[in-house]
Amino acid sequence: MVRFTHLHVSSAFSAHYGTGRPEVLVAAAKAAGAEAAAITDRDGVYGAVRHIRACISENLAPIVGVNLPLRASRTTEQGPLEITALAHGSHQGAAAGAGWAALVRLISAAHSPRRRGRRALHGSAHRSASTDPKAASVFLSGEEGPVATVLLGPRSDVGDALVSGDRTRAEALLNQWKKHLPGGVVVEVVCWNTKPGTTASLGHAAQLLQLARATGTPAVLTNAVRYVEPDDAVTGDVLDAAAHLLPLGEFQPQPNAQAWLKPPEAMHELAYRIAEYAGLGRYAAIELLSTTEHLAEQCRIDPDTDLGWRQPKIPELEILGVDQDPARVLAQRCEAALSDRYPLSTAHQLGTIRDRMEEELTTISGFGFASYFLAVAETVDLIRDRGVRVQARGSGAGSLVNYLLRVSNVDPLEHDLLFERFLGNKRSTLPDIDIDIESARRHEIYQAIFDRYGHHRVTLLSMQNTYRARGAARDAGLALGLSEEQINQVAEHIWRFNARDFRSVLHSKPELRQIAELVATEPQLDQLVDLTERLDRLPRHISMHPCGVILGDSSLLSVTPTQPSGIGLPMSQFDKDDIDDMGLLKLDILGVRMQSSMAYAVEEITRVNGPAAAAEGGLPAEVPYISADGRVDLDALPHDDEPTFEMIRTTHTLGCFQIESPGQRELIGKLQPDRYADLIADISLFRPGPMKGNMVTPFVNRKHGYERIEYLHRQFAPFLQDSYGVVIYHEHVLRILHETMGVSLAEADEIRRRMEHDVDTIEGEFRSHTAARTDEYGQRIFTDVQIDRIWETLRGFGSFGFCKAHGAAFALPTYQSAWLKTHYPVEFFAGLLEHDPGMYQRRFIMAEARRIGIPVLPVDINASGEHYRVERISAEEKGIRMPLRHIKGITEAELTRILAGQPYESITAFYHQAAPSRALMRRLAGIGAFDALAEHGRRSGTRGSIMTYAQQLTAPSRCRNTPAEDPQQPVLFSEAELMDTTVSDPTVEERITTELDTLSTEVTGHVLTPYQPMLEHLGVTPAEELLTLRTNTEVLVAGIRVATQTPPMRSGERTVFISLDDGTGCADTTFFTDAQERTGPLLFGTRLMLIKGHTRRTGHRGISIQAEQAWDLKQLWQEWHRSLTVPAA
Amino acid sequence: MTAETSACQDQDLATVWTDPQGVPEHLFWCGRRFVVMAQPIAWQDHAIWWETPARVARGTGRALVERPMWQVTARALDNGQILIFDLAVTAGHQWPVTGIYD
Repeated sequence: MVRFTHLHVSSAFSAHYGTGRPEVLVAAAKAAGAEAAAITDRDGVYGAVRHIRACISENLAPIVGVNLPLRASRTTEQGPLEITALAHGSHQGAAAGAGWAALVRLISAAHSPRRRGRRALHGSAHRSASTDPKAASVFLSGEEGPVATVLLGPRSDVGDALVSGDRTRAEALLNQWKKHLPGGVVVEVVCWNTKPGTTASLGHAAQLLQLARATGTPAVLTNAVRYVEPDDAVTGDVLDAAAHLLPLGEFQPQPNAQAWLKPPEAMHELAYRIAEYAGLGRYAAIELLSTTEHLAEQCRIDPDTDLGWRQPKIPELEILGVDQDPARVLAQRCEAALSDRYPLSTAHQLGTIRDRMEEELTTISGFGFASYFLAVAETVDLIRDRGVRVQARGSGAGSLVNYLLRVSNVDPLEHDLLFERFLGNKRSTLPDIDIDIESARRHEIYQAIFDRYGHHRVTLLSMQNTYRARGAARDAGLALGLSEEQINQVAEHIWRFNARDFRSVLHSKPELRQIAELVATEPQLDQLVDLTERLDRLPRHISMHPCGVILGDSSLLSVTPTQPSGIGLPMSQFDKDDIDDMGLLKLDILGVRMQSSMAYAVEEITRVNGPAAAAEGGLPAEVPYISADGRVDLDALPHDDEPTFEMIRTTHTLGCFQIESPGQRELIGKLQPDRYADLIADISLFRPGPMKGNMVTPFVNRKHGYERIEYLHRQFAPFLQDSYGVVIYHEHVLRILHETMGVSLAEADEIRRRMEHDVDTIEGEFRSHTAARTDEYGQRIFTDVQIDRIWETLRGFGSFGFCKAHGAAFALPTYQSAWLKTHYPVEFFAGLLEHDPGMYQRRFIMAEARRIGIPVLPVDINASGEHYRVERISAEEKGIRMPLRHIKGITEAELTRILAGQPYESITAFYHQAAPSRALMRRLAGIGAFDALAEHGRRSGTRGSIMTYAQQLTAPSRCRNTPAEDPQQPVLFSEAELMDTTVSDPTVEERITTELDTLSTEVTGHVLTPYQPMLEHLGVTPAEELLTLRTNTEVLVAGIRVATQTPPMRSGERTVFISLDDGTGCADTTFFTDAQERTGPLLFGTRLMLIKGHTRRTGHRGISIQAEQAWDLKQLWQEWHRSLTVPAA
Repeated sequence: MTAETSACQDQDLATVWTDPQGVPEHLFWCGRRFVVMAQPIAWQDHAIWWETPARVARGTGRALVERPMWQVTARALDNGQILIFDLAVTAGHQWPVTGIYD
């Protein structure tokens, strides 16, 4: 069997270029008998860790390189000129990791912004990274020769000179490269069988080989691979179109489909053909092939020695300020925090707490993770010191140590959370401690972390955005040259399916009915479906991960290449799946808008109410969690505030964290929580697993006394209290296994993890261990019948359960936001509008504010600022003032000028001082921002006259008939007198339309207001009246769509939930298969809808509508109008 | 096309005879007979698949994207003129001529 190692291979991680995933390419190389496999992605090592992982599992030697554009080179029709660099491995005498570090630094340098700004070009075909011989010399030269090899191929400057017929220049360029990197340059011969005379043709390959021989330069053969099989060339064409942002046919396409991972035989044959064409004998071909294999040997990376594969690289102790044993320092910090966290505990209780703490500390230091915990604590301290809200999320909340370090604010003892669920005995990689902070201050915190640990120890994490169905259809449409309208028509109806399944769902999804018909008649759309499927899950572009920060030691920048992130901080080329293998520590610091909203609300409470804050919130004056100056400490709230639970039980929970979705409101309606543990259960139950496993019904029935509470076994009663005996949490399973099998909690967690994969393998073990358990009298603790029942429960639990620590951590902001909504609704809604945290659009949150009686104050040129602000209207009433920031088209500069000039005395003064654009001036007038200015004096300007006046002011000068042009000119007439009061005011409908257009929300009324006559005529039921109806009443509801969801259902059938807002509340409707069929394309594409269906009571406070049919309200309105104007026959 | 072809009616097609392996041996173009001189060069062109109404399902890609070509250097039997032809491989003898150079 002949052997050939492909040294130049682009994977799909060469975004918009490669089509093969590293795992597939490696498997193909293995199948072809290779002993090593290379990855040389464009501009980075984005796919390298996956490649190495695949190589390890296929037992191949990994080779890693990069393909980089050449700086200041000419750009050909195929893009910029480029080189490929391959890192050397350490086993050939080079220092361990030197090749990798060199490659990494070369890449980072290639991405560092140039000093002279370059023209920003659109499309990924314009690659922003670049390198040159000098950079190669600087980064790739080691102390004892080069630590990487540069491949100069057909698309290099040397290859380009040859194809242009300038052999002298080619030789000069090659010599220059060799001078910069002696011994580190090879000629890369590629033959793609392109048209003779062009790049990568047989002749071009022969010229490269001849040049190498003439100059005594080693030459290697590659196929500059960009796909696994020639079939993928079609996908390549579409990716090229996406990279150019041009349809196929409007740019130079790839030459043909030859750039695939050809088998060794084909590559050997190519070598012979090239040598023959070059007029060189067989020996030249053999030499070419053996040099290729020799270089492959030299570039084999050893993951352990070269990369420190899976070896932790965390900040050095001195950086953490730790000068002794980190385990001891951690223990001291926890001990010191005990009295602070548990001030009211008795000595006995403290003893129990201390035991738990010591157990946790023993496990932590046993793994050597103490410094990791200290680093996390240090980071959280740094966040808190800056006055930013911070809260741990996930299983980390199960750790008492985290609670003592103030990493988490959830007391694991209060909620019976288990450390073992977070960190068991068998963990080898660092556990994740996820932290939520205020989203608005996330970048500030990242910057602070960089400053704290040093810029050479920190980078942001990146993420690969991959093609989903909608984006794939859009790019496929672009490639085919479809019109924007045609593309939209398809894309709008694509709703959550995998791109690769497009054709198979065409006929099963009612919303795709029209598309299916078009596909049958229009070949281009038929192609679009195929192309969309081909793009499925291919990486599109890299971006900053929403929460990941990588913390390393001082070698970090030799481990990961970095590139600009868009926020001025460097971003690693690795994503979350690469981190563990690279031994890097990832901090998950997620910006959570709800945290920003709550922080904002707290600020507003203090600012507006001051010392009267407690009274304003309907609370006793001396509550410990509100300071004398009116500052609320949300983390110190007691968890049993009845008014808060009362509000939650109404299901009017819009705006509250985690419990505002239609499905959640329905669950809340059934569950009727009256204690904190119920909130944890609610959040844990509202997941696909428990919903499918129907854990909700027994929970609700037992809670409300419809069903007797049973605990499976009397020994389980203490820990199943929190869920009325229903097994919901991982923690429950751990405790059950601990009680029954007599294993430790850590072992129980391992068994639980095994159960998730294959529950039946546990059964024998479970039964024998449990049956063997006896009490002090030698009697069996568990009878066979009990064992059967317990096993059935565990078996049914499967993978449905949820980590209670997750739920408890989520429940905290849920409770805090509900508390704010209950006690400080105006301030809370100001926070919601300011930071837009939830699933609903801002306009719906505003509608909800109005619904609960909060005055929304219109934009006012003097009263409005940059932010949503609480404004006192009277001693009793507060409202929310709309900001200037969200006016359509307002620029930063205009906003700054307007704010600087406030207050304004007249419209004219505003126009001259703030110098707004003409359009902005008219928009301000249209939404009533000048109404207050025109109010004083005898004659108040009306909205109509103000709008006319603003038009006159901003009209081109020759038409201007206002004397107010020069601000220096004495004012003879007051503005009000200049206004034409005969101009009629806009109607309510017109105002609402203007508001929606200018502010994306209505202020004056509701978007449905204009339709009222028709709705009354049709007998439409307002949302607020639905609860008064009996179940199974036929109803019509109308409104603006505020939510569309397709959650997983027990039946497995797709169910579509559509929620409509009509200004009186939210009507939640359910579309089952038949109704989806009848609704067809309206299902996902229509905003204003009328829905007919039957009511369905879903609990004490819940009602939803089982939809039968839906109409487009706008269309209906036109038809209704027409019917009114047509006289009855 | 740079060759003298003014008198020719159908310069976009040539009648091509190949050896059993499919390599062109001689051709008839614009009323003139040519004999292939040197070893022809096989190459692959990119086909304009997006202008055809065909499906592009997985597995059909290569045939859609690639168009097999020969570049041949041939001598006219009438006056000894040497021309280079790019010929698109086609079933039968009538092959499209996509380029001619002298």
